[in-house]
Amino acid sequence: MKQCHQFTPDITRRHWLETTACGFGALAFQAFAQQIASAADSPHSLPVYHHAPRAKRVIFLFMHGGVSHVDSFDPKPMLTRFHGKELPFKGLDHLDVALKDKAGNGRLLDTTWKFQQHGESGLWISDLWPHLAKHADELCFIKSMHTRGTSHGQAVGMVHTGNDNLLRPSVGAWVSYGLGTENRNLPAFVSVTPPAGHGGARNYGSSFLPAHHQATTLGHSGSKTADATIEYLQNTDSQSADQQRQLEMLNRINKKHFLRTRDSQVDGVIRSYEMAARMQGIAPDLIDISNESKSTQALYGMDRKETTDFGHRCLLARRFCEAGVRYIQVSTPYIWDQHGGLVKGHTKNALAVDKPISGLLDDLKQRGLLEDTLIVWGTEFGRTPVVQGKDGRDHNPAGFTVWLSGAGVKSGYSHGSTDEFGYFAQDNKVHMHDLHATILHILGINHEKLTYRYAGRDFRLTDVYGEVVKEILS
Amino acid sequence: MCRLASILVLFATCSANSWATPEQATKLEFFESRIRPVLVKHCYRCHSVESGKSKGGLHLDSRAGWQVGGDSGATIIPGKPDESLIIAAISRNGDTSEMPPSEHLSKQAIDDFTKWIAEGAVDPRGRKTSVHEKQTVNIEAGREFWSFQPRRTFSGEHSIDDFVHPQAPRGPADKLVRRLFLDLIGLPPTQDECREFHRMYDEQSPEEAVNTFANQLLARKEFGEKWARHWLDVARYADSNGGDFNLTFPEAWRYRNYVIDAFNDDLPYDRFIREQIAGDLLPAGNSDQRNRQLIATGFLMVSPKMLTERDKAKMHLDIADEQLDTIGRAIMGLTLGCARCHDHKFDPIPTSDYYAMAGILHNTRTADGILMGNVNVSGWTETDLIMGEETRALAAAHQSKLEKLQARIEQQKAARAASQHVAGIIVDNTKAEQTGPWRKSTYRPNHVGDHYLATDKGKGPYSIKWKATLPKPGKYELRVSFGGGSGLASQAPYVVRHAGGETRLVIDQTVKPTINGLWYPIGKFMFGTPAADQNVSTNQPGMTIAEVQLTDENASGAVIADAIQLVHVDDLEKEVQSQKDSPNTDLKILEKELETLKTKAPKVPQAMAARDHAKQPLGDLHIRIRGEAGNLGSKVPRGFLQVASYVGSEEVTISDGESGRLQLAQWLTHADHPLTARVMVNRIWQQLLGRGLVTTSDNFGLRGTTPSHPELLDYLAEEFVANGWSMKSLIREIVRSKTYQQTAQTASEDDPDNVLLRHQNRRPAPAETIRDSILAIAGELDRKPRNSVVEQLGMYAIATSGKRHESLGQTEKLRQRSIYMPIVRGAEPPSLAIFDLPNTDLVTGTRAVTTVPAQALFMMNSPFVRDMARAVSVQVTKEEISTEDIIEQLYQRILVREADTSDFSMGKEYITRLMNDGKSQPEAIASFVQILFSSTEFRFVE
Repeated sequence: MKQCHQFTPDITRRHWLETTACGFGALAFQAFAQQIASAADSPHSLPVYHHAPRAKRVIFLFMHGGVSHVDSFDPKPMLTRFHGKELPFKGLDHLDVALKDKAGNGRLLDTTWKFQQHGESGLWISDLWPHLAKHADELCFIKSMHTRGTSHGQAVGMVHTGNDNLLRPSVGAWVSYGLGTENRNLPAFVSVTPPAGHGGARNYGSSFLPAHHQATTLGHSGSKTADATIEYLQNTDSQSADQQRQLEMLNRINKKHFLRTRDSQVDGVIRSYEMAARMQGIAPDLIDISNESKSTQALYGMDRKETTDFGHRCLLARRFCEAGVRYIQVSTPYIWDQHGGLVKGHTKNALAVDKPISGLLDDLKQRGLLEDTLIVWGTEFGRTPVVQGKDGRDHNPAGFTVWLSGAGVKSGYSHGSTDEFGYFAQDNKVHMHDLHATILHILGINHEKLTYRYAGRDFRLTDVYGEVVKEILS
Repeated sequence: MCRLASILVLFATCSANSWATPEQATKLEFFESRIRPVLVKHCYRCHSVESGKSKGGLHLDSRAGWQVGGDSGATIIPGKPDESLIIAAISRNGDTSEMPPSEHLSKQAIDDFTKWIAEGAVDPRGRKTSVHEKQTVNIEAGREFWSFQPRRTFSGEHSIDDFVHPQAPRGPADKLVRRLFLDLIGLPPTQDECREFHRMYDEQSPEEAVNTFANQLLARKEFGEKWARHWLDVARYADSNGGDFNLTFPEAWRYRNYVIDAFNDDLPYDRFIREQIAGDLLPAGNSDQRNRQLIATGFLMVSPKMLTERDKAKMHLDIADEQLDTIGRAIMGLTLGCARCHDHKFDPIPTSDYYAMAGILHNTRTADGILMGNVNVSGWTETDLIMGEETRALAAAHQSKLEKLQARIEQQKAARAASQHVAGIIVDNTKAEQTGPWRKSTYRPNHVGDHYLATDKGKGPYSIKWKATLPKPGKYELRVSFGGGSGLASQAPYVVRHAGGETRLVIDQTVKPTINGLWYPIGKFMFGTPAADQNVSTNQPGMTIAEVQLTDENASGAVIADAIQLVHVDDLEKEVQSQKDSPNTDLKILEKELETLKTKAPKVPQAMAARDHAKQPLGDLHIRIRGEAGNLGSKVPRGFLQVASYVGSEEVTISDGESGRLQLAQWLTHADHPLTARVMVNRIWQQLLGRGLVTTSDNFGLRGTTPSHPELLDYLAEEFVANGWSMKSLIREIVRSKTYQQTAQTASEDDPDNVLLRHQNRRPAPAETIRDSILAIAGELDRKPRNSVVEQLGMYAIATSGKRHESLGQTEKLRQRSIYMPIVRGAEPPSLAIFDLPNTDLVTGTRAVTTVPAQALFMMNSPFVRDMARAVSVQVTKEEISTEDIIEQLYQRILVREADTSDFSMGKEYITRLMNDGKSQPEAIASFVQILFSSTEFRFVE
């Protein structure tokens, strides 16, 4: 088993416990996110890289449901040409389309949105994403994604845990296990408004990895971001001075116990109170965005009703990123599932996230954070080029698009393709396992070497699969 | 040295056996910690089967590899480091090639290799070849492994202490009484119990005190409420599915309570297992037993399932896989799941053995049916339980009431049909000419035919025309139906064409129809003959068609168009008569009554229970190549693990028409099964000593650890079986041992894991013990057992949107024992989850121990801890007593010991300071109580 969390050597620690009468309060209440990163002078853990990392951290923007690639990033003129005609080959089994319509291979549905090339790179983006389009030259598309699972449960499991039964540690937990935290006052893995359905907590869980690798969460995808907070972070009925005094006495009593037992387990608990106090001093400020300027908030779309909530989520992502959280996930509610009403639904959903995501890219760039942060924008699966019902598209795990941006990946680049109708990934296919392998690679981790012994077997995020997509690396 | 000597004596009796002697164990450990990692990291890249490379013809990933050697000759000669090529290569001082080529091994590593070879180059990888190499599983060789060997037998009297030689003194009374209570019932002793224990400890003897109290505690219902939780960890128990559709398991609680009862009734463990695997197939003497056995199979049922898996064949295989893996880990300590796709890489379990057993479980229906009308979503099997006498009587009474009411309704309906028949001509909206986007609706129940039509505001114009062909000319009463009620048009314009011409009428559709709750008469008209009525103005002979038109013109609300009715005036009287015959015309009232009655039905209790497949013939299963559902290999006859055999185990046969679950249960619980008893005694030992004799309590295979005290493990297992698999007897024997009663100490440097059990272990108290103790100390613990605690949730424990029942956010307000808390997957109560409640998806024999800030935040900030601290404060400040007395009481109640001088001084200092700052005495005390609840001493069992 790989041991990556090396604490201060016990000798020093014991010495400290024995000699300091009351060093607790001084450490306990530091503030301001800006100071946090520098406060991490003695890191909580030392990451063990397998090779030089290209990014220090990841922001994963998860679109819960399936975003239609053929209406967003993967233009298919054949859909226009053969709109209403039958797909000339057999599609996937177990789709609702097949179950409900029983209409052969299904009929093609043209896209409503106009595709245009953007930027110097000339990447195709539809007018469903006007703000993102301005960042074309910073994006790296993978248009040949495929995954397992035609139902949400399985596909959500695949994207988060690399397993369609949701019984494995999540990507963020693996990253936390592999690299530890950059900031000893904060956890390594934070999930802002994670999905509550389709596996819920398992999508940010640690499964058999030690429990502290699971995400610290803020609310869930259905909650209002402004109300989301970390559990028990704040004491509602006592003044902070009172609590500090209480913690000092607790520390004295615990120290007495430690001196009697000299047990490192006891020390571990004492240490957890110290870290909790530090976290309590810092995290509330981190979550509080009221100090962000109006113009920054506007950059994220927080000045408009439609974009304010997701903008808030993205802004939190930047703040956690700045504070040194390794793996930050931001999720939309479960909204991307247009089996019907594609135009109305996708229009509304894209409106809610387009500006905030674009704002996040701008802000990270301005602050120089894009240089060591990898952004991954992903979804469960794409949607079929054939129509479901009157005006919908079904799930399509066989071909879809994700994009990456920032540290470690080429910019203004497009990798892989689907067939001429956008149904099946065709050239340079990239499986979800490959995407995971690539994310770990960019962080300096060899996905085949990051293993954990559980029940007699060495497990890894990518199971026995996964190849790094070298072509997209910068 | 003298320790080693005593161990050697201990092992002298078993030298003939194949398992490791302590000396060998040390060498193995050395290999695993110092040699193997270096080989893997620095050598495998070029010298292993997996890498596909064997540079210089050398494999270093198996013992056979270096024994054969490479092109240059013998790489390692055991006992002779100087002659071993590998040493020359890594120390780069010979004329051989220098290895590894691009990096130098550390001095430490070179010394380790030299030492390892000098001491005989013990390499466990020789037991089989490279773990990555494809090879047929050798069952015979596999049986040589310790855990598959038959248990040792013992003659004469033995005790646990004979095998351990405990060295630490017996714990002092205060520590011992707290440990005993927390370990056996998960609650601290009361002050009276404490006093009584101290008295016996001092006046009679410590043995007597422990003995007496152990017996008392084992007899309390709190014992089962503590110990059942350990089994529920292993049974991955939860009250909801988790997975993709997190549906509530409304009946899972019956299984939870079954386990509690099993511990409290001291149900023999072999029986306990048989019931959980095949309770539905076991004979039952009475209905209680039958029910209990059905409920027991909940063990197979409470797993998380991918209910929306659209490939149902795959889903059933996945479920059987999960069940088999659970049985493997929970009962045998084996990871069978690994053999689903390929022969087990480490344990002697071929894929064919896996499918032999998976075939048994594949004959069992766990997921079944369709939920929510969606063919993609499966439900699960529930079985009616046999009802008790009282429930049965209630159900019968209810049934007869129901039937009577239904009969009355039928009667009414018949009468109504008769009256309608009398009542002449009806034309429904389906027969009418419509223009405009009328919307079909059934919202209002009182309508004719399947549905009626309604307008949507702003979408008109709407129009509808009914035409009725009348049997004879004459005067008719015209009635219309429109449901009636708020929201409808108060001015619906009707036009009637009759013998006298056209009549325009404006009808208020918000009123209640007057006839049969359905019809509203709007006037009498002549059709086809001259009029003699004031309603009719002109005479147009020859017309036998009645025409009625309705539009939404100027209508303020929704206009409803249903049917029209024309009743000849001569028939009106008959109609009145027929209504008199059935006086209670308001069918609606009766129907409502029926609905209410139906909801009040005494519920037929159901259990989440396994049952054999009724639709498909029971039989064998095909191997699935690489585990893929659609990739069929050969069919394998059902059977059991060949490697875990005993005399006679091969003779068990499973015939067609039988699932084989019964035989599986019997095979598992045979007295001579090499694993079942060993695994369970190890689990029980682990709970009482903090560490299993086999530390990997769910893995007794090759990748697990070997037992620290193999003889003791076998002795305990033998005793366990000999005592009728009694769990209470085993627990009693352990707590009565000196080994258990030793003081808890911190492990020494030479035995950091206290493998030798030279003292008790200081262990973090489990989540349930922390929570229940806090409640008990505060006097807030509700000791009543619970049945279902999730019935308020409805179908979804957590909806896909994330919406969850508010009660799930308020579990901190619950006061029942932790075992009765709702365990919804993904929303486990924070007070438990934060303190390492295991992941409810997985079999967990050994909980993770974490010390994370979240625990500290909970103790510091949760309203639960603060409320409980206040409750304690209220109790101790009821009477006017000194601060010192209060501190004394608090230490007794919370830490179960007397306060010493420094405790007093710190406590007084703190409380006084707070009171000087203006806090009231109860506030100051509560703050101090919270400190004691948060203290490390409280959070550990010593």
